[in-house]
Amino acid sequence: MRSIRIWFTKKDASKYISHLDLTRCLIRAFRRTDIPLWYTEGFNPHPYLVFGLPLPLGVEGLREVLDIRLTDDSYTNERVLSELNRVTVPGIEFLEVAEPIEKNLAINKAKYTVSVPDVADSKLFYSKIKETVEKGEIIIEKKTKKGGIKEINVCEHLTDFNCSFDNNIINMSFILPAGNDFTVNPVSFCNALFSMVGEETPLHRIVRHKLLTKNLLEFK
Amino acid sequence: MLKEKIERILPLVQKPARYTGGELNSVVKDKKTVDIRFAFCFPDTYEIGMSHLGIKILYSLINSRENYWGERVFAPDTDMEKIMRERDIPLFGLESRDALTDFDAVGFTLQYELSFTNVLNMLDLGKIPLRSQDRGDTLDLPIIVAGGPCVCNPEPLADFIDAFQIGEGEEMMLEFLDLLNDYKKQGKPRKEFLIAASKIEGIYVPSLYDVEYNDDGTIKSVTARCGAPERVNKRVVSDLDNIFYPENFVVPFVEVVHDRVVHEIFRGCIRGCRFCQAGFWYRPIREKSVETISKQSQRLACTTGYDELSLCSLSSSDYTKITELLEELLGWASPQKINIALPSLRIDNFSDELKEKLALVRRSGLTFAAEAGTQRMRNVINKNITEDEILSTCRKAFTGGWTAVKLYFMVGLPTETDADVIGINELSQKVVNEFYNNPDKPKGKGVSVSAGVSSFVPKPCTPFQWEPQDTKEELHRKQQLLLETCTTKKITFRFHNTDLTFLEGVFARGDRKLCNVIEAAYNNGCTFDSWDDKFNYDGWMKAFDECGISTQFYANRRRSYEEILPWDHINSGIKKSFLIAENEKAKKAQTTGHCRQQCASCGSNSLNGGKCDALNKNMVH
Repeated sequence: MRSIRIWFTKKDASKYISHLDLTRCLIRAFRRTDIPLWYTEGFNPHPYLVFGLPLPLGVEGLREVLDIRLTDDSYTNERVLSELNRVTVPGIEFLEVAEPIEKNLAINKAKYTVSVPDVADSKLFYSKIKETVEKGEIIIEKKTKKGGIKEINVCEHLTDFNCSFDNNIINMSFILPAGNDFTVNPVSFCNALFSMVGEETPLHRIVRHKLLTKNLLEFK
Repeated sequence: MLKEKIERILPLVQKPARYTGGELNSVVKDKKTVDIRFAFCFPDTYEIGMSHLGIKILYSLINSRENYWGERVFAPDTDMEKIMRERDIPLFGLESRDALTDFDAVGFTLQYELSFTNVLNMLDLGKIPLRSQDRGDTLDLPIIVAGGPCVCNPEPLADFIDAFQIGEGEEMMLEFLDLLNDYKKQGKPRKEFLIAASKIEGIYVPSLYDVEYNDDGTIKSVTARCGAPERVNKRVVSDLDNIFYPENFVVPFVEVVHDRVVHEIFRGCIRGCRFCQAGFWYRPIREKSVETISKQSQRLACTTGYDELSLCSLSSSDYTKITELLEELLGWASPQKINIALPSLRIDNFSDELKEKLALVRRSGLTFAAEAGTQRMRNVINKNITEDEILSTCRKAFTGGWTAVKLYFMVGLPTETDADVIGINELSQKVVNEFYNNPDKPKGKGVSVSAGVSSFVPKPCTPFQWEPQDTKEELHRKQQLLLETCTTKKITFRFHNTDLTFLEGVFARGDRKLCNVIEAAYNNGCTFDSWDDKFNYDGWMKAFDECGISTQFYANRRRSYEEILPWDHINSGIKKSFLIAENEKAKKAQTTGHCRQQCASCGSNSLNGGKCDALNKNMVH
């Protein structure tokens, strides 16, 4: 038996598949292949799938991560990749199969981009966004592990924020905490930001580009 | 434009994956290269509609034609509908995200009477005029068709549907679309198409029939015009082994009610329970062979990745080769970690051999449809099982480790007395006693008997189609009687909402006068009537008032055998003389054996060239 790490995208309409549904969707995908997926032992065996970090509903991912185990060591990584791509659904593309190098716990941050393609007065909207982030106080509510709600200031956790304006499209990029201990949801951040800018929430696209370790290195 | 508007609202609604399309095996074609676009509408939410086998079969069937494109449409949930209306987004096909008005035909499946207002709501959301007469003279607006078990009596929707497909759709659907394709190409008027369609076996075009009424509101005559048949024959598929069956199912992202491979093993039912519309409507009996079922299910498991296969029919253990079938299926399913589910088992032929096979199949709940509490009552409804059979099956089940049993009953049956109602309690109590008297019962556990008690609704195409339905008050009294006479906490009762039952009773045997009521109720805000939390009883009562319609006339009135019934011009194949004879036998509590013991000459094989598998195969259980 060996463990492998599978990198995949979750783009376009597949961003609306919830994490729970994604699990069922990928289990079925494996069942449509001949990949020797390891099942848990015991009275009620189930397929063993461990995701690096769930994506919030509505957010696209360019490099998501999933760990599985193969019961047959001779089954190659290349074959896993081609089998999965043979049976996949639109938006989910399998990019790479590799040995896991770090533990999932090493995931600490994530890099996102947000694009806002059409707002009425985009120039004004753009400058208001910059202004709001620069003021340094964007409060969101976050559920605590004990079930309570606490308020946090996203700006205290936001790094590498960039905002550009090009062809009437506003593009933001930033890094937010994302991991087992502490995560700031980019959806909450965007909703809070747009509501402070004072317009109706515009059509926008949030993309998670990569998962990062504490030292801002790419998670492997 | 529309696609963008939809994209914009998806983040705002619950479970958006219900509205995105793009599921595994969903079919996207280039609309420029297709001739006919068909929107398959299920008048309930995605989770319910995606569980329905018929939609899967017809979806694949239509898409198997290169130049036809079938898409799916479901009733948007309340939150989605609200936003769609606010932002003027019309109802759209999941695959193309094009508005309903871009389709050539829009088809509804009518699974239950209480989905009728959803049909109107979906038409309205699709910006299609509700009434057939308002859809113009051309084929520009989509032709609205409807099928499914409710078209056994299509009359309550007669004003809204252009053409009904009566019976099984595998052949009729393509014939219908081929004709539509021809007429569209020639730019012919809408009415000419409908007249031509009425000549296809199974197609019922309600606007070609004039209904006259007597002073007392009953029907005086139904007259066909423009060469439409006097009686429309239900369409029957002859050979299940050689009829289209999908190679794959659309596999939803969100969890739906029945999320598995489903395989229909036979059509029809040999039992003849007198209350059961499906039992008569789906006749004659036609079995699919073990080889075909196995081959097709294996293919489906392969293309979907499902880990469960459910065999479906009205009474699975009546399949002549059920043991052989299970052996064959388990042969390949078990190694692939696929469970086999076998619902609709009857008590009387729950054999040891079958139970052994089922032990290999994952154990689910144990449910028995006893239907009535006393033997007399079961004889009246021709549910030919005895108390001994029920108790001995429970005994075996308890020995086998089961501790929970579900029993299904009905109250409000014809000739029912209070003693029959109390009999439900007595039988449930005997099941409880059976558990405690069983030396092999599971140790350290109690038993729980859950009795689901629904209320009887007389349905067309059954021997009880002339019978009055109990009033709401009477049904309620019987439910109370059950609660008052129950002395143990081991038995729990679940009752159906009598308001819903009552409404179902009105529409099951309704006529065209009810079209106005449905529209009025819809205008009063009634939708999703089968959902307890959304059901708006006052809206319905107001609608009946506004239209001056007596509910009593439809639900609680005894019809004479001579009366012209609203569905008499729909020919299910079942002879009226047979239904009358069965009704008379019911009054005397006499039973009729099942079809393999002796053919009761119901007549249903008349629509299948005289063939019926119950006659051909004399396997007796």
